[in-house]
Amino acid sequence: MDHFSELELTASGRPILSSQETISVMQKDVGLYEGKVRLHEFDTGIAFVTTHRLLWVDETRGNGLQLPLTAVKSVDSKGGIWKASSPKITLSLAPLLDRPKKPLENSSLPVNHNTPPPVPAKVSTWICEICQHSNTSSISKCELCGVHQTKREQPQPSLRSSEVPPSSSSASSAYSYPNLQKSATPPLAKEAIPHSSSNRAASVSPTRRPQKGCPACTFLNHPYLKNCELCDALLPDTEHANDLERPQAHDNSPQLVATSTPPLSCRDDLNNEKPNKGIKNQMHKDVASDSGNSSPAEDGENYAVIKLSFRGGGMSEFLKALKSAVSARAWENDAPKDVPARPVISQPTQGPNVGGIASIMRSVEQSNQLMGNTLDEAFSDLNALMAKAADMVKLAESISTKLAQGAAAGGDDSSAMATFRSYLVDLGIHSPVTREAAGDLYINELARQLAEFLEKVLKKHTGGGMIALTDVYCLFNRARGVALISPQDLRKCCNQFETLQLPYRIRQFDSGLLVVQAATHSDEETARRVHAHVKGAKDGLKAVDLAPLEQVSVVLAVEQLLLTESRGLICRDDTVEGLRFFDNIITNYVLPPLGR
Amino acid sequence: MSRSSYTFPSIHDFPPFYTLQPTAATQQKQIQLWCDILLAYCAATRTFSIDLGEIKGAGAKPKGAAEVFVNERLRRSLNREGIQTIIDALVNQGHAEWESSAKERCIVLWRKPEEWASLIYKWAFDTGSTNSICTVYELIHGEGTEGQDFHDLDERTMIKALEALSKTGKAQLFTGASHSEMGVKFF
Repeated sequence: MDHFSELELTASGRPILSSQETISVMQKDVGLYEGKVRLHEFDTGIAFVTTHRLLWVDETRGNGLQLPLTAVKSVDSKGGIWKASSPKITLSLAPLLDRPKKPLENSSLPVNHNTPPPVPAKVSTWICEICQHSNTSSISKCELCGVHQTKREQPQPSLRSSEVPPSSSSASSAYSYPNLQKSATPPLAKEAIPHSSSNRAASVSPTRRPQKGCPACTFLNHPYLKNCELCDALLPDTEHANDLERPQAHDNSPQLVATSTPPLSCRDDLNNEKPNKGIKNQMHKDVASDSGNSSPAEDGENYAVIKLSFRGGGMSEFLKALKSAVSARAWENDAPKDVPARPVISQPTQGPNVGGIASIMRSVEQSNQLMGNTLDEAFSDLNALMAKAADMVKLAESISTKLAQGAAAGGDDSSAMATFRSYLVDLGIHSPVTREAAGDLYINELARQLAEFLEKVLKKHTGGGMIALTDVYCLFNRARGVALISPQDLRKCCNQFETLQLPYRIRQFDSGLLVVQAATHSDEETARRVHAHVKGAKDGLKAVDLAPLEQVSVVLAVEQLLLTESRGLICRDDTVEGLRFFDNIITNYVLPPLGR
Repeated sequence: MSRSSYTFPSIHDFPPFYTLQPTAATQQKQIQLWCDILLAYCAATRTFSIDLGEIKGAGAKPKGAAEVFVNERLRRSLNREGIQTIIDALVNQGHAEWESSAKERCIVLWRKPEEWASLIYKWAFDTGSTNSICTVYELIHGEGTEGQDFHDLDERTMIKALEALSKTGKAQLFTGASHSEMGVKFF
């Protein structure tokens, strides 16, 4: 199985997903074929379709395989309705050599060539001269006010002027990335150099340039401003600000054309056509030639074929999910965006005439509106909410990092802030198992996911490795965000712990309280700890006193105290004020001899 | 022997001591401790009976031996059920007897009747009172028994002791109009 690579599994036997990845469907009893040969080694397992990969997990042996969807050229199905064999899905794969190592490289569009390489590890910041907003170094324009970065670290001054909305080219690149990549690079480089250098000449030395005097009020504005900060009158053109004497309108027009054309001329070079053809024609040609190239029938013999055999049924849903995952091309969105929560703020095209405070206010308003829209969309409809779940998690993450930054800068990290952050962190399951996706595997998969979740929660929330089922329900559903589960499902899951050999058990106390505890949990351990707590308390311990010490809920604390009492380690003092527990000195008490 | 006061052991100031413990082993030990304390108290203060009706609540100090079950300082008191459990245990051991089935009052026998009986017989033997008849009143309040442990003994307890003595054949009881008019002849 050259096409597949080893898949990493979690301790509970679920595949490990990347941060952007979500599972869209899973199906058990799936066997693998390579070409026409049935692979007996990989005969029965659970197949998953995620947004990025096709996964196959053998539950009993605890190993798995993965196949990036980038490698999938086409998806086909064979019925098996009237035949004796099971229904199958056939996947045509790209030849191994052609396949890019990472799905990321796939998405590099010709225009992206110009963008600075993503720097995920070290993110330095620069301070905007105009509004003092601190921006990450990957952005060349201020996030808040849209003014260019002025200092020497500026990675590519020409970035904004040559940017093109990505939609125009992403549609055409659907099946033709090798073609595009090969031919796109050299002409682009040729194009880009003169263009960017000319631009750099204009923008690299902004500090030496004189400030722009307003023609109306004579206020000296920053050279980057387009409108006067005081009177909002139109200032002479940016690029030619140094020749203040002749700010003529027609001087601008060739410059504007020049800045917006480079992507088009790139495309011209691609197709070796004359540069003065109409834009729309060019685009159409691109799309046409691309789709012609990529039809899987044409170059079918180059591609290996993998088959999935569905012995347990469920093929049609799997096929649907697989097709949509392949066509959605979610991996293309993985290219690290600067700020995922507000992607469109720094659009260069908006309000070319607006600068100064008006622009700042407008951009703040825009970003608020954008966030508002995201929320509105998310809550308008439950399905949309499900789709937005990943974004919501990202938003939560970005808020929490912002809070962390704020705390580091301002130095006042109140406890409310910390609590809020921990709530955000709790929004942690980005690919919740749902009944729709998992089908009849639902309870088992949910149990596995729950086990993974409990591992985190039990460490963080409880000292004793024991947590009330009601608490589990709340925490788990909060972490799932949108795909909520019912109490019955949770109960069923917990009952599956033992059969699935997961390291947790459900337990019922005499009072009827249900708790989930680690399989390794021992009552002696708990009793000893509680005893130590009780011993430490001078005036006895109530359940409400014990709860924070043990980091458990009060009901659970009561149970733990009763458990310890039943072992004779502590004794109770029952008054109208409530039940209080003391170290048991009664058992070993010896009366002093009578002093007659 | 004068009425001495009794100092309670430290466990008497332990709040959980006033709650009947639900754990079997702990409760057993707790009841035994209560029994011992009660007997020791009664012996030290020469108390022969307890009236549970005296216990009004944790705040008020009751009269008589019932004060054993109350700790004013801690504002704790053993409840009625707990006291009955303890006295029932004492009754089983032969150290107490309920006066009625209502379990309101009881006689505390910090010495069993047999023990009293042997003390009395020893006195009778030592003073040469054998084969002569004396009244119960004489035994309890008479000059001859001053200084003896059973001087000022509770009348009912004395009669129980003498009954025990007569059972073993060392004495004979003669009925009188009242308890104090009863006579006894030691052999």
